[in-house]
Amino acid sequence: MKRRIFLKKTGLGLASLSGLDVVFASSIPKGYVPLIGLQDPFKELNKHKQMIVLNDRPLNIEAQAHLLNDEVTPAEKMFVRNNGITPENIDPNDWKLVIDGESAINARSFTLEELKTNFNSHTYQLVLECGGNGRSEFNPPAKGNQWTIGAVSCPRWTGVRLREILERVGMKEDAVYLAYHSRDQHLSGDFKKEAISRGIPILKALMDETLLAYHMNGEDLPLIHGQPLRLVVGGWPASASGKWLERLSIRNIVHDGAKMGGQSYRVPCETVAPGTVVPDEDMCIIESMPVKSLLTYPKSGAILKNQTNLEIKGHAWAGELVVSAVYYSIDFGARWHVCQLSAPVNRLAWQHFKAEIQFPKKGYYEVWVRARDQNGVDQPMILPGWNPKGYLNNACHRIAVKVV
Amino acid sequence: MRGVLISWSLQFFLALIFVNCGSPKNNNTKEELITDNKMLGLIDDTGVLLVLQHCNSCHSTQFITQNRMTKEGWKSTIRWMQSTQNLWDLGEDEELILTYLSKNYAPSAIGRRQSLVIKDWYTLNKEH
Repeated sequence: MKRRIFLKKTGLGLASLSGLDVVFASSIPKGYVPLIGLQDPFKELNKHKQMIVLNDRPLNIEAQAHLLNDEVTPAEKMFVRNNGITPENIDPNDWKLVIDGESAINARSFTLEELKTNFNSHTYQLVLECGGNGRSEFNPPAKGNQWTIGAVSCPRWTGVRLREILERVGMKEDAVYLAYHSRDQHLSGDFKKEAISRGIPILKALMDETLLAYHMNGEDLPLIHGQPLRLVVGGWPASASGKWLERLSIRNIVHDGAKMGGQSYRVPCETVAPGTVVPDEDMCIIESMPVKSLLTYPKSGAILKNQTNLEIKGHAWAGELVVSAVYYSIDFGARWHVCQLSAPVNRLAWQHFKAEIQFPKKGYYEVWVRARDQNGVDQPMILPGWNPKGYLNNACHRIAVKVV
Repeated sequence: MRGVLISWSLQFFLALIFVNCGSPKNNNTKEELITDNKMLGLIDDTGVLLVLQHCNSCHSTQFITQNRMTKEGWKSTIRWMQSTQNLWDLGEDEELILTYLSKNYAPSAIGRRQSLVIKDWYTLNKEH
């Protein structure tokens, strides 16, 4: 807070710059080179060089469709969505998770070692997709990081079931929500504020697949993905899957932490026309993500020479639900053809599809894919329900192909 | 004269970043910040220095350059940052900042679905 007052007092008009220059000069260490931007994310975070940095403070990095072709997403190709500043100097040996809240019976803490040794470990492949994935297509535009299609991943997570931890602590009957608190710092540097503190209803917290994960793809969580412990809430907006967990609170109200209220991770309870201003009280929290699919092979822009057939591959997922079918079209949705579709390796994992396309003649094509969930609900072909913050765009993905 | 003012002001806001919002780590020099008439990626126009001073101390300019909003939209974003993100009262700078943002980062009608833009067409080999 002190810093803020300091900044305010300086007065930011250009007219007063000359006087301030001297004051600031004296506070800058000798030889100090002001620091701007971010470290090289590709090296320091071990990210694939084709990942796209949308924002370097806070860090927001997305994949491209063709990078996500692996059945299990490697860490280097997993998107990064930070709301605050990445914590530093995390020591897993000197770390504990506090469980408290109005509805906790025996509030207590666990060391990482206790979690690993006193509880069974479980491994699931779980889809994490940013609620704002696809925001860049909104018109009128929605504010925030302009994700295209790459804020989705499905790594293999290992950890303990949140349910077992909650059972050990004990929950009062009035428990309704599980909230997380993390070590990342508020962007402003204000230690009294949390960058993000969201959560999930108790019912979701009690599901088998809801994990407190310490491994990703068999290795310790990378720092940027939540070392040493994170929530993994498959099929829900990834903002529910808090990173760098320090504290979980069993709440007797819907959690009211940072980015739970207002317009964050909420959509209008009733659909609205594009551009509508929606009051906060008419916005509802996003829970399960909608059915969606991604063509991961080939990379868009493929030219086929002396061949008219093409194998396509990709993944499909449907939040809490199972994908029942995936279709492709090469004539802008006029006709659809069935793809081969695999079953999920476990609930809330993405499913893989493939198909062999035969192009009838030379020309420019777009390959569109469309998934259908177990309730018979399909992806729309264009941007679905416009909402102020640009969430839940599950319009079908497409790639360009030329047959020459 | 303008160049002097810019370089001076840059020094000023760099100092602010250092003093105020912590430490993004890079060794960019001042000269690298101004390229193609852009400052840290922002379009160089009246008000850009105020934007840098007020906005860039807590978040990257990419948060600005990614977004397109009307004046009303930018204003509501500023209000949101003031109520949740510790942004201070911008005083008389607010109007200048809003004018800069709504002029240089205004929405354009993109329709419901745009044509695919392919930067690099490539020949797909049969083996994959």
